[in-house]
Amino acid sequence: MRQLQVEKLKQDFETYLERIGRLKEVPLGEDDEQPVKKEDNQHLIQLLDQHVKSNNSLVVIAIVILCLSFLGTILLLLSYRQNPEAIKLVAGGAMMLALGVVRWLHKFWIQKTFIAIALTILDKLPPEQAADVMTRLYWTFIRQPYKLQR
Amino acid sequence: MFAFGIPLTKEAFLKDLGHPNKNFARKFHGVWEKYFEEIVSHFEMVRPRLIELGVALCPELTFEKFGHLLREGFDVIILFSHWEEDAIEFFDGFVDYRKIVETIPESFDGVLDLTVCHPERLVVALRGERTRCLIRSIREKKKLIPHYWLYFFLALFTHLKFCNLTYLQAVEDVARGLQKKFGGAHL
Repeated sequence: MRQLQVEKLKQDFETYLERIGRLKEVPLGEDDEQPVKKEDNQHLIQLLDQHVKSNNSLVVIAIVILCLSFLGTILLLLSYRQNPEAIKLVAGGAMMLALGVVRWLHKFWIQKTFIAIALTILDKLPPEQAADVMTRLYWTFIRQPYKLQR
Repeated sequence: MFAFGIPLTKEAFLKDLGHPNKNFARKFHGVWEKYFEEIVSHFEMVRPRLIELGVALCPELTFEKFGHLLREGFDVIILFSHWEEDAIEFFDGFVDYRKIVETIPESFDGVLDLTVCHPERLVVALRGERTRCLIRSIREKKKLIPHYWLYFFLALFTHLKFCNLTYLQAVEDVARGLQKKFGGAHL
């Protein structure tokens, strides 16, 4: 999964890159580059922190759904233990639901790792260097460049 | 002749990042994906159409090659590149405007279209010292967005193919048409 296709995360990065003037198109002539300030990076840290909070809530919801489906499956299997057709149906349904939730969790896990790396870089590196890494992360993992050839 | 001083491949872009006498690629903070999206993808789009229209293309234009082109008898040479601190970025590095003036033969009587922003000193010098050639450049202090101009030239050469006009008349027509349709943000 090379691309992180998450609209909210994309918006957060675009807000930051816009703020430091790195989202605009580069002209053919001289163009004054604005210096990246510590406050700019703090702003992205705040946005990503909000993202982490909402992601954490969603992860909890996913785990609760997973646990409930597990309990529900056990109850249904016990109730229909005399009926092999019903057992097949319940087991199949539970498996599909679990796969869906695990896939969802996997997606959140990747996002969580990505954000954790971004937050560490923003916190530890000088603003200019952190901005370089954020620019690269955005273009490599979040944005899908038009007809990108690799 | 449509000649490019800026890199148009990933290899050239990455090489330019470490070039001491070039800086256009570095303006993209080393991110090829951004460069590809803003410039190369559009060039790849217009290139086959320009070739179909019979336009001669010269990517990776070095200063030496530029000198040769001026002596090869082209009626129009479009120089599509980056300008900074009174110098144009050729494929082999920045060249000061004085050296560019000196390399243009006094006998050159074609059109030199400078799609770089904003080469005022070069234009003034050329108008004073190379009176036989015609210079076109962007007069106003507007930022030259590369992909916009690639499509401008595609429209220009398409217009030239179907209408019996001189290069400069066609430039006027297309600029006026685009201004009317999209406003003058880039022209």
